[in-house]
Amino acid sequence: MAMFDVSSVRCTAGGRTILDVNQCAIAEGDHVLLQGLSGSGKTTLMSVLAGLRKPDSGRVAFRGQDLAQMNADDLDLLRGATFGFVMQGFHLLRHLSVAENLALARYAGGLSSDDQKIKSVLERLDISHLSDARASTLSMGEAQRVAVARALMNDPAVIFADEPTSALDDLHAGLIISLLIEQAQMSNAALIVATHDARIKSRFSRVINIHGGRVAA
Amino acid sequence: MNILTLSLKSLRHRSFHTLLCVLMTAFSVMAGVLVILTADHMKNRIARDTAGVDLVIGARGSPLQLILSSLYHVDIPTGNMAQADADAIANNRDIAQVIPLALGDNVEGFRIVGTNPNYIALYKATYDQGRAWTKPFEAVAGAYAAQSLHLKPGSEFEGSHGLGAGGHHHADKYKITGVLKPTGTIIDRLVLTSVESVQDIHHEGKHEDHDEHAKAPEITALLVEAKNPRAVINLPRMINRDTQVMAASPAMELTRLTAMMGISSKLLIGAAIVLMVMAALSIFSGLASSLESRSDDLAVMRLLGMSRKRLFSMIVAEAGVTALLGALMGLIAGHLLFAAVIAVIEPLQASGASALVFRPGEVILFVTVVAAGLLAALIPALRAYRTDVSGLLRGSS
Repeated sequence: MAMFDVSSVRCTAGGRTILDVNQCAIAEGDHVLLQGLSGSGKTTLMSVLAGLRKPDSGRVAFRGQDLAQMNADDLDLLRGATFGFVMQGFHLLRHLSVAENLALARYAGGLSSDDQKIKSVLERLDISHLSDARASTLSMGEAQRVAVARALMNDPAVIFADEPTSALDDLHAGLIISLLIEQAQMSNAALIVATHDARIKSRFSRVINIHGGRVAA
Repeated sequence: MNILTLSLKSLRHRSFHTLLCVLMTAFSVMAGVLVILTADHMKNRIARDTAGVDLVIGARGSPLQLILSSLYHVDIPTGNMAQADADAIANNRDIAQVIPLALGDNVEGFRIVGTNPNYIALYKATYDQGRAWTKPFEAVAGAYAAQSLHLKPGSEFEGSHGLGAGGHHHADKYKITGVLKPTGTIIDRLVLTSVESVQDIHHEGKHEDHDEHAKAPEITALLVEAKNPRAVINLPRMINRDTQVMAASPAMELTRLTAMMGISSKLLIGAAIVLMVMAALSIFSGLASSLESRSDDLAVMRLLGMSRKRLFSMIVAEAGVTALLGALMGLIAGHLLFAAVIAVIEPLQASGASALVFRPGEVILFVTVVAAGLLAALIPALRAYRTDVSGLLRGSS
């Protein structure tokens, strides 16, 4: 059984079809790049997979469970405890410290606080020294690592990354993709990255090209 | 990490605005507390000074003036009444007790009241030092008067004509025989002597060599305790109809007085309500404007799995903490301010006003302010509840 099973999914916005996927499956531990131009539908597909958007028709199943049939609370729990997210701009809570940003991920995911876990994730990403630093004081590279650390806090089965390299130079883009792939492998988590950035294509074994809301290959 | 921690961190992050909201809430509560404490003290003070007196009888004029001058000693009397009239009224079978009052002099602003020892019993006063007067020109000082004038048994003083300081001095000297313990009533501010002393000092009918000026003895007023409630209603009617004097009911006149005072107290309460609404609006505007800048943070929390209910609770908790802090500060500031007012206004000290007393009205005020703060958070909290998570993922690509 695939981790994600997408069948006959259609999403519209303003009367226009923005996603139309006949069949798509993603296996446990897969590293998948959703690639396409801006407006192609890759982020919509990611939103549908993460349960953030209900398709107008069709079925999206996670480990056999139809996401559309889950209630809002269960979806919140699934998202918090099973998925990890890394977004463009990283979106750390600037008024919290690095450790508090990580603790927030545990709390929001409905898990009990775990200082040991925070410590080990920070060590794993080599940023223990930043534990008490306020997020607003971090450099770009540090913020990247903290964002990845936050995504890993709840031992996710899937890490979603939306345009993680778009605003970054080659060096930083390469670093974050390496970090994401490395950490996903260490956690045995699936990695799904949506991007229009062609620089990172070679790093993924599987690439799903999306054009006009349709999966090309 | 929990809702309260997140709320506190968010409030701390917006510390200037939080402080502003807390201060506005505190000001409104402080004003409310001040009104409650002052009104409550006045009410108690008025009730204590009334001391179960059913009627006050005196020269015709304003009934309220008669009550104010005879019970509270804050106005000039309506005039004097003949001792004979007073004696006739005292013999009425519906009257349980009369206490005569003879006013006209003061010692450095403290009124000298000619009366009998029943007046001391009326206010349940007891002696701190010495004893009651037994002879003319012996006097007993109330606690506050004694403290202010440094009077103790054996002290002598001259009375001045009039009810306020500055009148001409009488030649006869009074001698203090006793000092009363504080009672928190008007008696604390009086110097008491016999009716005869006051009459003598004004040469009323006592001096044979001034026969042409001598007149029948007079007193200023009678404090009356009726035998039953029916008498309280019937006696004034009878006295006002059949005699040359006037009977006034403290209960009735005080209702009129408090109605007049009520206007200013209502204005203060109105001002406190306006402040409270402003405080609630400041909490509302603080949260509403902060939501604009925090929409990303809220969306991140939702993306990380935080439920809509928790997000709603977090915003309400922020308002709750702000209102609670403000209300607590206001409560403390209100009592401190009342303590300062007591320290500055001597009559409040003398009447036993205390800033350490908490009134039920304050609990109502506290709960109302916190509830108003929570109510103000509802709309921002609903907006937070509806935070769109998918907006975090770029565009709709």
